[in-house]
Amino acid sequence: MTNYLLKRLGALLPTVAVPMVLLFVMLRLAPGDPAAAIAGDSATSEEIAEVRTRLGLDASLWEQFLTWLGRVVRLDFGNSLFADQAVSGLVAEHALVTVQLTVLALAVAVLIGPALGIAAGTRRHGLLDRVLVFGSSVGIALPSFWLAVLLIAVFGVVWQVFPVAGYVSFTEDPVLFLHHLALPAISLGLLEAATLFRYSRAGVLDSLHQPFVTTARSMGLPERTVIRKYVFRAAVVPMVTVVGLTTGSLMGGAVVTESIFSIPGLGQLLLTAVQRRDYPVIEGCIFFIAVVYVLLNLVIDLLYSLLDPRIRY
Amino acid sequence: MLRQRFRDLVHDRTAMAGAALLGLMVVLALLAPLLGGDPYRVDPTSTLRPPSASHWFGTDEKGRDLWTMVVHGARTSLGIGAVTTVLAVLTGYVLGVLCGYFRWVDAVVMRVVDGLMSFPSIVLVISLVGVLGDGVATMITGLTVVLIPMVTRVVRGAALAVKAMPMVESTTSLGSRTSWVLLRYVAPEALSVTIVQAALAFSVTVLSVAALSFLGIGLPPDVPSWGTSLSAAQQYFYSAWWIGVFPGLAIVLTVLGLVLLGDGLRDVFDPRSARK
Amino acid sequence: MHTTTEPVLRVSGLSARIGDLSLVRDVGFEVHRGRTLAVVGESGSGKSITAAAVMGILPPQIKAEGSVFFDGTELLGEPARRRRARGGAEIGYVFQEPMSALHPLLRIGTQMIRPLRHHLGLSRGEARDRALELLEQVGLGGERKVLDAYVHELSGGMRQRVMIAMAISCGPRLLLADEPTTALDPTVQQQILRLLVRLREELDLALVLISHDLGLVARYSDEVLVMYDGRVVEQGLTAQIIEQPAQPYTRALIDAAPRLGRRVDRLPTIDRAVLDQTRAMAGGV
Repeated sequence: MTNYLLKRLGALLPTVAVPMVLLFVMLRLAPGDPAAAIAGDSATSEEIAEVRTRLGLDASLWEQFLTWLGRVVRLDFGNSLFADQAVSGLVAEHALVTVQLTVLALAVAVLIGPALGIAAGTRRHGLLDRVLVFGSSVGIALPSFWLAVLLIAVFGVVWQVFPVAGYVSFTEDPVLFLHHLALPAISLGLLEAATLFRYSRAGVLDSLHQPFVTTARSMGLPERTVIRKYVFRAAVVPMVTVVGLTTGSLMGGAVVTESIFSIPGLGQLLLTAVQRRDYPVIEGCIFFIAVVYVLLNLVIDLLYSLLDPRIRY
Repeated sequence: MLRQRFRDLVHDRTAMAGAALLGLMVVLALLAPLLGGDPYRVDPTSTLRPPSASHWFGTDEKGRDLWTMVVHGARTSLGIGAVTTVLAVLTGYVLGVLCGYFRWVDAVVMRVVDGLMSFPSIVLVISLVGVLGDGVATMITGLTVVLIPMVTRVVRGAALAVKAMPMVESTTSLGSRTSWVLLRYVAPEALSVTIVQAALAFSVTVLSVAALSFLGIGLPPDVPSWGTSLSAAQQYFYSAWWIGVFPGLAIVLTVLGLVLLGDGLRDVFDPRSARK
Repeated sequence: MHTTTEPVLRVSGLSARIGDLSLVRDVGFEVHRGRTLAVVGESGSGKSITAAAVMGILPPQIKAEGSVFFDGTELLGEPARRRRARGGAEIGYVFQEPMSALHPLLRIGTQMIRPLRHHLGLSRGEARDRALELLEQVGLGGERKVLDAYVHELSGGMRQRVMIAMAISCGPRLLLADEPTTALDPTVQQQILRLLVRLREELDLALVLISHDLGLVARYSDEVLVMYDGRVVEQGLTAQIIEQPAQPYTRALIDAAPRLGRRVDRLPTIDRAVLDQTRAMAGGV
């Protein structure tokens, strides 16, 4: 098991390394002088030089890379160029909010998607199935930010049942916390529910005709039992991977959703950093998201081995 | 064989519905200067006007004709989409074929591909634009970098499959020049999976461009784009619902068209991975 | 034809179609308690479709017509729910691939206990005891851990024994075994066939043994039905047919089976001329 974990971690290293190196290279390949761009239009040459030193852009490329690598390995991303705050602290603070939003959105997706997928898959070609399949196709083409705008218009502006922006921490007031995150979580989770719907429907359709399900039928078990105990059990395993991937894309989607609802999460941190070219903060955000991805992958592996007795590490 | 597949495609209703939607958007984009007015003409006297005979889709918060903004937005989206897709597909295709053929290229490139694929693409594009600075060229670069792995992976798969085919194996053992084998067998076979990926890459680009411009990243704010229009809608939805509806519909129809076309293409060109 | 009692199963004029394509045409046979009927033919001859039609587990796109008369009742046209309820309790079915026919993610015990509780109304504990008895009956008595095992942890022979234990668990009067030994090693094949015949005697079952290998099943069956291209080409007592096959196709099937005690230099294959002749005779295209 330990051996396996180490191997997996090795295989997952590129997930962290590649985006980080890419950022490193891109900054240095960027046309123009990034230091000048960061320092702003009205900066004096001393100020630009100062930024250049802070970013370490005045050394040779190899020296820069080694210094950079040394810092990343020590998880030292330095300070924000603007806020005079350690990047690690900033990221940790904002990440907590994003994780909460992601978990809520995941709950929306997992509660809606698979249930509808099973309902549609077991009633193939029925009215419900056709309506849901069409709905999920539209859902896949629907950008989450547009859905968010529409939801805000209907529930926030016209009916005024949910606040249109802002965030209240859970410890401060759990009810207000949920009230504020309801629309963001729904707009984010609903589209992932469409994906989960398609996969679980396909999984059920696939399992319905597996030989072991035919065996259960041949033993005279009622269809309800066959579906509940035999079909679901088989369809649930591949769903673990899909839910894992979903969690990943939810984190990506959260970046956009947070900016619409003014939620002070990682997305907002990243967007502000991108607009100001606050390079160390961008690096820190990317690093954090990549690490979460790696952990997510490991959790999926573990769940897999729990759910499928054929897999042992 | 290719001609037969295109004939199958024409008979695929899903694919044709997708092609029709996409075709409509392409026509709008190409004829935008004729169909709409001047997207840069700001008219402070007629802001937020509802749809009417003179302004089919109404006007936006700066008094620009929304129909003009939507058709010119199609130009922006589809233009960036087309350039990005071509760049990503060409690069990914070459890399994929090389990976499928040379083991050492494969070892290096696939590590990078895995690393990029498992990362949320929108976050990466945002960050790349953040590092490189705003601009259309920057956006295309960022999107291309994100899309290349997607194409590389499937092309590599196809190339590996072709390489294992007996006729190719026998040519290699007879000492044919590697480049000849690549051209003769691997490249054409990988082409069909690439076509499917192109449709997917295109739809990802359209969504990403919309998302980025919605967030105010990458595109200059005066360039007409669906995302920029929608982001204005956030403030004016109550008084001007049309700003929030028409640009959104344009995105959905374009992406839906590409997704349906992609599904149809997959059924015809890549039946093994097509859903049952 | 030789007993005066009612047969457990009487199939007559059975046909199965998928769209316009005919898979089985006008098949008829009888099976009595305590007797074994071997249904033999190559793959695609319609023998498995016939068995699935009797069992009522044909894929929905395949339509069956004719008569399947089981224990005094006509099964074709019976409401699906009634039909389903007979499975396990009245008719047992042994599948070809026990590996895929048993659920990969459920313990053997769970899979055996559920039908026992459903059909016989046993409690969890009673059903577990009964499952252990059944395992003993199929020769897995010493293997205490089988109930807690998953199918991938068992050998091929053990899997098929479990499958058989399940098929007989709820007291069926008819057992259909579709190529029960094809996925197994030759030595295990004989063991499984002996087990089926022993159970047939102990439980007074009517047994239908479906196989492509006439030589293998000949010694375990009383009667034989030879199918080709969806039709019955020959049927009768096994001994007679082995001795004097009326059809060249049957002869070819007999010759195609390598048997102990007869040296075979080369595995004989059924040559095209014989096939074509049989095909013409079968009236099929």
